[in-house]
Amino acid sequence: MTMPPSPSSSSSPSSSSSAPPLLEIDRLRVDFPTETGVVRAVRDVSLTVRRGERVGLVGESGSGKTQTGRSVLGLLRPPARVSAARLTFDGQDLLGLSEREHRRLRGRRMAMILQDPRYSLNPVMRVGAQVVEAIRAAEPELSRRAARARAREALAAVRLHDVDRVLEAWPHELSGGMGQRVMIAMMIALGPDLLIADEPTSALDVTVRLQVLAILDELVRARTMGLLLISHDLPLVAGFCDRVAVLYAGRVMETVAAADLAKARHPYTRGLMAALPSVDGPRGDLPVLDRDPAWLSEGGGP
Amino acid sequence: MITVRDLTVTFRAGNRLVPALRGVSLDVASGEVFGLVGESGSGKSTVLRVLAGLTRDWSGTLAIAGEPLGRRRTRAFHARVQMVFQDPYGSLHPRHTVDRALSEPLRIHRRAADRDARVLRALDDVGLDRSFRFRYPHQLSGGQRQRVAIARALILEPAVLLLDEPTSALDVSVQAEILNLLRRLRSERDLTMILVSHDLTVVGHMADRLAVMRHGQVVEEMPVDRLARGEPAHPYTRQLLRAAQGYDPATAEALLAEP
Repeated sequence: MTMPPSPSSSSSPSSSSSAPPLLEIDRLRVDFPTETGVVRAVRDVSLTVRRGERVGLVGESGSGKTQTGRSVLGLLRPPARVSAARLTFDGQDLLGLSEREHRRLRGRRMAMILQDPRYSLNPVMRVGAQVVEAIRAAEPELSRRAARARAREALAAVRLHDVDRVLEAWPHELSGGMGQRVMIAMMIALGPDLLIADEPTSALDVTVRLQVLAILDELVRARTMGLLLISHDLPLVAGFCDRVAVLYAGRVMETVAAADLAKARHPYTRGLMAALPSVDGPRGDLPVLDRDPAWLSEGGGP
Repeated sequence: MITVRDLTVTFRAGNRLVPALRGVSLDVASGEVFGLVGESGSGKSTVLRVLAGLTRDWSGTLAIAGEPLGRRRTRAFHARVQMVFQDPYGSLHPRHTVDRALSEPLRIHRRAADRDARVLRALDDVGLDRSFRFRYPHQLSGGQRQRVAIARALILEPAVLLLDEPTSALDVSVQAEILNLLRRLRSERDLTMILVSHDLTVVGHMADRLAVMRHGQVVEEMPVDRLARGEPAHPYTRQLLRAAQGYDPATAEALLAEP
């Protein structure tokens, strides 16, 4: 596939561990003041993502995984309070950025895919027009014709077969898997260096899910993009990612190589793994997770 | 206990006729947990909705406990066959307390005589503290809400429980608790269950037998042991099984190669 080079991919082509990380999060905190007190959604989360790396951020609902992703993209607005010892993207400090500077980074250099394409696509605009609009919003100097060509390439890159039909389609005419591919195409047409995917496949059927993941996998490899995959699905993350950070109550319980997830040491991770039903496992009661209050005061870094 | 013969359902979408079920036949024995697996649009939920009487436009033959079912369901039927839905937030009235949600079936079926005792017992049965009785759905967690939905389904002491994706809106740790609860209730009450799920691992864990559906038809029916041994006969079931075991680049590549 031929895609435009991203602005900085030539300057740091390697994904070796000696290169500085693409994304560096050090002791990130997100607080939401409410009438009944401050809700501490993210508590000292530290995490890095390198180019060409697939990092999983797993946890149950309310663990702070989505708020972590949104903080990186600068999508949290007051009254939410975001602070960190360090929050950098490709060496650039994200905390000091103005809204305008953040918007310039989003789309071009950092992008996000959400769970359900039905809510991300404009229902009264043809798919092709939306992809073109997204491309031109990020690169206003591009002509309509050039943007359309870019849109076609992107749709072909996510293995949408009948590109012409998809370009002319309305969002409701697409299946869930096709819609999610359109979202991915929209993101990759801009050549981001970092993709934050928040439950990108949870609304999809199992077989379609694997197809979408294979496309993301290919993009990470071919483009040396960094991927932060936010998910509640441990088996999926174990097979797909390189490293995994396990979140509980806004804290990182542990960060492990994805391949070692089955041998995870933290009782929370072990509890989650044990609670999963399996096709060939014992058919008695599933072990129920006992949450240890001590977990709330630990963590703070990988 | 449950017999489904040649069940056919066609939905009308504008001028188009969309076949939802194309001749589905199933037999579920008394006391059995029968799994119905498939992807979205396979027709698995439609089978359940027809059985529950929520979809009235169907053809074929249905019977529960030897009694043939018609278009309309009697009150006695609903006391014997109850359904639990995926999203308890959608199936519980937001402005009704737990007490009211549990009392309503008793009132409708004129069994309100020992209402208090029954409501408290229902809470005990699903492992909810009695202090939950006068709370509203928004004051409960997802798992607690699903326990209320299960308590409501069980309060009339039905023989058959129809479960439509009962745990797919829940976190894994909560899913484990609800699956354990269903397993306990089944053995205590000798319930017959049909469990609809897109998740092969949930069905593999819970069911005695299962049917795999695709495009409104049953592609394969088997005892759960055959699934556990990884020996489904149909290629589609094998594909689902591989997909259920997490991400594997080789499997994903093979799927991408398909149109």
